[in-house]
Amino acid sequence: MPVPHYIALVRDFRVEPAWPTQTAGAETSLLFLHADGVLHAASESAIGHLGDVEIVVCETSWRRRMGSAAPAGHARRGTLVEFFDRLDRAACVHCVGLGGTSATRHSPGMRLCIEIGFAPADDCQRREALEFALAAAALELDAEVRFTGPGCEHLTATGARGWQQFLDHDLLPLMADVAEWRGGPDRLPAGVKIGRFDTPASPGSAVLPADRTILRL
Amino acid sequence: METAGFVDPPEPRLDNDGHLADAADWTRDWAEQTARRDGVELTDLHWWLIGFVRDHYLAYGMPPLMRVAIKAMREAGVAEAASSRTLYRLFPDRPIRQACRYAGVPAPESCI
Repeated sequence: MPVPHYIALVRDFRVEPAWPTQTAGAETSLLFLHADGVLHAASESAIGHLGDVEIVVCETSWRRRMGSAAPAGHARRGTLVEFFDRLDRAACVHCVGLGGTSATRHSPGMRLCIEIGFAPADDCQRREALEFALAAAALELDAEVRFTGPGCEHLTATGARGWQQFLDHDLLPLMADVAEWRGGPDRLPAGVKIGRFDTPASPGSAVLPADRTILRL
Repeated sequence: METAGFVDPPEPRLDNDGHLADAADWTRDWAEQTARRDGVELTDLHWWLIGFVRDHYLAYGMPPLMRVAIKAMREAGVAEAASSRTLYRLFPDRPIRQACRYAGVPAPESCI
């Protein structure tokens, strides 16, 4: 299997990222489609038919939406475990998702920051953000999960139950920046570190530095 | 089968994966019979894992990661040197998934 120099994670079908032109000159590339991003491999979307790129669709996201049908073109099914394994050997990772985009240089062993900045519209979005983080936890990666603004909704109501296992079993640290959220810290599960990202922490709150490989979901 | 006015309870419904459609229908006897049909003899350690998986599912809405089950096994003292190999020896084909079946909870959805 070739070692990808550049990895793109696409989790949204509505967005057509400029990623293909940005990879001009990259030696090899991997395009990993997760959540609604897998629909690119089921349609005439240009991103799902890129010729010189290895395209992998998350088999769980694919099965949820497409059943047993095969992905179009040369896309193949894979797992989140494979994504994280390939990520560790990538030099740059570009994410396009419901919470926006991110592009970060990466080197092996660099701490990962899974950033969730969108409020879940349905149980599927809740579930797939949770599964993404669980995959990193399953591999015992050096990673953390940051909920920003409306992303804090993942930690409330029906979503709180699934994330609670991270706290009870010490899987990955959970952090929340509630500044742009209409809820308050008291609505979040005990054990979630509250603070401001990219700014010095106020006394008593968590220090949340910004020097991470960002995976913006 | 009917005996002296008593009727055997109906078999609980299964989903497409062969798991109980309703976790509330689970009984130890059902798990025992299902395992026996599969050719699996359930030991104390099997039962510990089945109970742990069921409790985890009822608490968090999903089964545990393997690393969580392994750590819990060590901390509970049921297998102090527990590792992934321990789980695979209990249930050789996707241990957590198999344990889910006997625990009466749905098969894991994800590819983790």
